[in-house]
Amino acid sequence: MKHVLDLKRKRTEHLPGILIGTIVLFIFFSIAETKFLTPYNLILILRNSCILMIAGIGMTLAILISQIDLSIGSVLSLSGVMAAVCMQHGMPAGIAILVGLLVGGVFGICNGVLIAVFKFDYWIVTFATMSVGSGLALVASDGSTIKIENRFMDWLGNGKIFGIYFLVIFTILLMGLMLFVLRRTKLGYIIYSIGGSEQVSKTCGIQVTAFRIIVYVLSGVFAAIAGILISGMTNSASPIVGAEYSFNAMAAVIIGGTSFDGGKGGLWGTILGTLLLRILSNGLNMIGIPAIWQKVIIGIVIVFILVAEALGERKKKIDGLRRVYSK
Amino acid sequence: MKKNIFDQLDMLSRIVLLMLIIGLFTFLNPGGFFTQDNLSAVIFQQAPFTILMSLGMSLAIITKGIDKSMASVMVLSTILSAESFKNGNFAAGLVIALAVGVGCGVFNGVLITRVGIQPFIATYGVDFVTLGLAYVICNGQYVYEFPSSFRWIANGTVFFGVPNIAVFTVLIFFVLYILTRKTIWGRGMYSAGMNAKAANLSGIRTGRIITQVYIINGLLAATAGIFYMARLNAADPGIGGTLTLDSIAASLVGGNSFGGGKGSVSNTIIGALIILFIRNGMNIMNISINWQSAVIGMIIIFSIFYEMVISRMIKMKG
Repeated sequence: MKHVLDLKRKRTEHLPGILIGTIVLFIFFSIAETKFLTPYNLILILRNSCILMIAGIGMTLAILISQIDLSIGSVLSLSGVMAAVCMQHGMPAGIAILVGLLVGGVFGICNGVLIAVFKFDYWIVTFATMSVGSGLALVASDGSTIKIENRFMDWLGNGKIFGIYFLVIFTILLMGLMLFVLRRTKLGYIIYSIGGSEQVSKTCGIQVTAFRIIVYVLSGVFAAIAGILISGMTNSASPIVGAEYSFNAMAAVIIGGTSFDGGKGGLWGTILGTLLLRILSNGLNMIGIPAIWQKVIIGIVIVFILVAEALGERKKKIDGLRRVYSK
Repeated sequence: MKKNIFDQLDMLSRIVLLMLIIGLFTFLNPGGFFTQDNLSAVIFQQAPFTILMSLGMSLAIITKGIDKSMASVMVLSTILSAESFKNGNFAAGLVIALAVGVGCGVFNGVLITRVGIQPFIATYGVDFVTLGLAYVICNGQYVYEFPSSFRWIANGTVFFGVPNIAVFTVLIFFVLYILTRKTIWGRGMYSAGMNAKAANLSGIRTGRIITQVYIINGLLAATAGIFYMARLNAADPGIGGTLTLDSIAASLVGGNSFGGGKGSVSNTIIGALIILFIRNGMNIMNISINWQSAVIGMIIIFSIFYEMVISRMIKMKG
């Protein structure tokens, strides 16, 4: 029982801080700019968050097992481009989307096998697959943006059900599903326990290698879903659309309190982290700060949060030691 | 002693790899690739930049880190110092450029050693911020047309017709070689990469050494930036481009293990030449430039496999 409580605490202890941060930012921009708090803008923020949230699921899973997936940005581009290329050759949208998802799965398997089976360093493996992916995206699209003229794809990105964007509903459903998986199913518990301690999980009979591969496949597939949705939203597939998603997704996950030590944090943090990032960039846009400055400001905020998180983590470790030795 | 032989065999195998690549492209396109013009263009004009960046990257990789920020630090230092160089105020320009390099290096070092952020994330963050700052400061206005006395750094020749930039690179290489292989500091650096905890317990100040490595990286990046400006006759925030990818690939394929503590700056030179010749060969073969980053990525994967095979062989024989 105590163990379950402990796990619950590990998943949620960071949430209050990030929630307060998001709310403070939201109130600040609402006061600073009247146009911020309009239904149109709020829906814009929500729609912009959706893609990053879906891409962030994969990153959350990878960081939960105390690894990372840098390749999601280029998988996102590549799967969008592949789907667009398939449609250009006259394939129906369904098959094109399947091809896109397959691309994500294949990249996931490559990452997973290289990292889990061959025991290579996850930074360098996913960095390499990142450059392979972005290169292939450029090759497949011949370096230019491909236009998509397909009503189904357009509906995926811009269609509405009962007046609510399909994209938003889909993201909420997907988030709900993944929250359920992480909290209520065996897979979720295993992911947390691998992140907590690989050694212990192995001793308990968990097939760590297999589950690591599963995590990377999921990460690739979620990136592919994000890529297909973003090409639906813009009705085009650009080979460089994903360039900043790896960094932003990593930032959203870490802002959300999922730590690189693994086994701590969860999807709620990622949801809030994504909202915070998107509110920040939208708000900066609204109060008229030029786009080039935004990158710097967001970068500085991210570095600041990274530092705070690392210092907090270290303090906690020292406190933990103190408790052990003082007894 | 035994390990030394294997180190040399490892090194030899990388040289063979370089020869194979040169041989392959010569075979595929004899008239275009293996000509004096092309080879000297690659070695004397393109190689120095990649080599300078790869040297820094290898130092970081030997200490079990990585420096993703080098290309952006280079861009920022060129943007900040360009105006001074253009006005003929070389001393001021040099000081600004090197100060930017040192500053970013210290920042990286502190984030990694004092705060305890993983090297990749810390330098990724610095990379993001410095490149953003470079774009903000430059604000769309590129500086160009530098005085010819400044451009002499890259294009002039003082040594038997070899461009100065190549001479400088060789000098920097020798300095780094002596620093890493023949000094106590170098020993400390290798042991910090091999086993930081053990090194710390034996009285080596690993934190300080690692910070110094990132400062050296900043200086190398700033130097490469000055050469770039002199070579291109322009300061533009887009020059960072593929340098990060290339330098990581170069130091890995040259034999610097990502596990830390293994490799050397001479390995890096071979790695950088491999990457350069592959890029050049693909250009000459008229292969679309879009393929190049995919190929370089595959080379990274290839080199970690290669590394695994080599280290298994050492384990079996040892």
